[in-house]
Order: sequence, then structure tokens, then C-alpha cells
Amino acid sequence: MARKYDSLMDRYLRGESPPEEVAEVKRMMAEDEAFSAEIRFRQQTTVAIQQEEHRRLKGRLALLAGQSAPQRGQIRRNFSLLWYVAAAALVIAVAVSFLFWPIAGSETHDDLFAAYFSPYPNVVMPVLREATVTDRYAEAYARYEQGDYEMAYTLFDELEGHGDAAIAFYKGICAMQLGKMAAAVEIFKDYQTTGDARFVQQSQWYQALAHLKLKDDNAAVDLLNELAKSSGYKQEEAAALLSSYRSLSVPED
Amino acid sequence: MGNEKQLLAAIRNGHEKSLDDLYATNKLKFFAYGRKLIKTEAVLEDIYQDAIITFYENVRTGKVKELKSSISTYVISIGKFMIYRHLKRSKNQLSFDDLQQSELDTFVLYIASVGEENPEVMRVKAAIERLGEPCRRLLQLFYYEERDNASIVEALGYANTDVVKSQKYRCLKSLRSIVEKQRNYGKEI
Repeated sequence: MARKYDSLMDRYLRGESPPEEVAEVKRMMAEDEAFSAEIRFRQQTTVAIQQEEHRRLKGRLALLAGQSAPQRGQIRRNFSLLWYVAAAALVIAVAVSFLFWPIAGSETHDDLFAAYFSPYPNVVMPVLREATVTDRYAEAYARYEQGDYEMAYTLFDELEGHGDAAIAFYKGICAMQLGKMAAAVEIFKDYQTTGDARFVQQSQWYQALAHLKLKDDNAAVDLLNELAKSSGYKQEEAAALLSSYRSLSVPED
Repeated sequence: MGNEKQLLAAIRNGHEKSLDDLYATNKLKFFAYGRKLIKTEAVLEDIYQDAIITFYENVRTGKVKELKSSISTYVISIGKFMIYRHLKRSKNQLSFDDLQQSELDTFVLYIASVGEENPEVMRVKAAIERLGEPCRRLLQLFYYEERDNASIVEALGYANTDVVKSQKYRCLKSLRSIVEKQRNYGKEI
């Protein structure tokens, strides 16, 4: 799209165009598909950024909610020092109990896993390297998207070390889909030590879920705590999963 | 009211601590109302967080510049609207206290666009993740925060507004190119 329309489109999208300019833009949108597509693209860009910001801020509030869930009838707004001491003691007690109380029942772990696990979308671009690698590379991601995790795992395994660190991350997801949780944990751990790893927090999230499935609760909680404290990927979900863990960890009467 | 002005100024300046303050200040009042209609605390919490962010983001980005009532009235009204939307009830049943329904229009637009699940938007989102930080920030300042070029010069340290314009054009071109490659790649599959 010609650069001369750049300012015109932006004024229109921001609602800063005078009426005659609005009419002109609408006419061009009706007559020129490329112009219309560019307007749509800029609108989509705005919405994409908006949704990402919303998600990030929600993660921040989810963390705050975990610290200040209101109880029925709670009306106090200025907390005394004593209250804070009591609250701190309670937090420590819950944390300690959490370390020692096993979570009852494998079904509970499976339920949580099923509720939180979904494969990471394929956001990797095909990188043009030498033809043979590119073909296998494209096929690996294609198989992944088609849900053929067995073949995708084999292909990712072959391709590992060919320059794209993300291969190991997606291989880890395939391992989880194939029920190889312990292998997935090792794959994610190795991946996180790779210098050019782009999906570090994502791999921590999936590693935490693999630990959950393996009932390795301490390892899962450590990773979830880390994610819940950072303002990044799955912060909100990590806090929510931690909360589910806590409610399940109360021993039954 | 003085505190409200300070809070609004803090939001406009992007101080995220003000988001926490909004959240803490209105929570009890909102939950007292919401619990009559929604029994699941987690759902109510989710709605409340969305309402707070909706108010915050619209003020921060300058889409809402002037308030005709207290901050609390706006936040609770947005939350009420969201509860009714969640329950799929008619907006006509809803009392907006001392707000006109039209005063919520900007917020309602935001709620609709944040909730939109459009595959094209998802593709752009994935592409933005692949953009370098300078481009990502520049596009955020221009398209989301709707800053003018002079303000972007100041924020990002560019030489002048012409550089901002050229750089923005290049960033959009890169973003479009990534989206196109993703789309073509999807077709091959």
C-alpha cells in the first residue's frame, strides 16, 4: 500500500478525520481492496495489542486477588499491624502445610491437568535453510498442527540441533501428548538452558503441568510460583492453578 | 474528589499501581452487588478484574477523558453491564445509578474488542511476538495508546517525528510480512 495514504488511514482509524475525509476513506475502501485490507490490518493490530495488554494486566490483578480475596461480611479497610502479623503467620502456615500435605487421589491430578493442559499453538515461521531440512522442518510443524504428535515427535527429534531452538520446545509438547511426562520434563529443562530459547516461560508452564501429571507436586508448585510472580506468560493461570492446588490440599475430615 | 483527580492523573500517566488501587477500593462494593446475581466467586472475580481493566485502559489511553460521575460509579456500572452480559440478560433491566447508558458506550466497545476471537487477530498477535522490541513498543504507542509522533519522539528517543513516521511504516511492513508468511504457511498445511 502506497505510503502516501499512511497518515490518511491513521487519522481515520483514530477518529481524527473531518467528515469529508471520512467519506473519502469510505469511498476508497469500497473501491480499492488493497486499501481496505490495509485498514483492516491496522485495526487488527490495534485489537491484538489491546488484547495482549488486557491479558498482561489481568495477570497482575490475578496475583493481587490471590492476596486479597474478599470474604463475606468483610468490611475492614485499614488493617492493623496485628492483622498483618496474623496474615503473615497464616500464609506461612499454609505454605508449610502445603509442603507436607499430599494431594489426595490421582483423579484430582488428572482433573487439574486436563483443565489446564492444551498444546501450545504453532507460532513458528518456516525458516528457509537448505532444502532437505526445510522440508522436514515444515512437515514436523504440519504434523504437529494436525495432531499427529507421534510423527511430529520423531521429526522434531531428528531436527533437534539444526538451528531452531524452538524445535526442542515443541518436541516436549509432543512428548506430553504421547504421555511421556518424565521425558518432557527433561526436554524442557534442557531447552531452558539453550541460549536462544524464545519460549522459556512457556516451557516452564508445560514443565509444571508435566510435574503435576507425575504428582511431583513440589516441583510443580515451585515452577508455578515462579510464573505467578513474573508478569509474563500464563501468570494468571499459574496463580489460579496454585489456588486449585491449595484448595485440594486441605485434608478431608 | 481531590484523591479521584490524583488517581485519574496517575492512570493517565500509566502508573500501574493505580490499577491496584482501583481494584482494592471498589472490590467490596462490587462483590456486595454481584453476589446477589452470581454465586460462583471465581466468575465474579473474573468479571470484576475485567471491569477494572476496562475502566483503567480507557482512561490510560485517553479514550475517556472526562468523567461525569465518580470513578466508583463508572467501575460498578461497567461491572454491572458485564454481569448482565454474562447472564445474557437485557441491558434494559439494568440501573446505571446516576450514569446515562450512553456514557458507557466507549467501555462497551472496548469490552467487545477485547473479547473478540478473530483468527486474523490471533495471527497478528503471534506475529507481534516475533517483532523486535523497538517495533513492538512503537506500534503499541501509536496504535494502542494513540500517542502523537512528538510524544513518541520523547518516549523512544528518536531524532524527530519524520524518523517516527518512517520507522512506524517499516515496522508495519515487517509485521505484515510475518503475518503473510504465517498465512501462506497455514495454507501449505
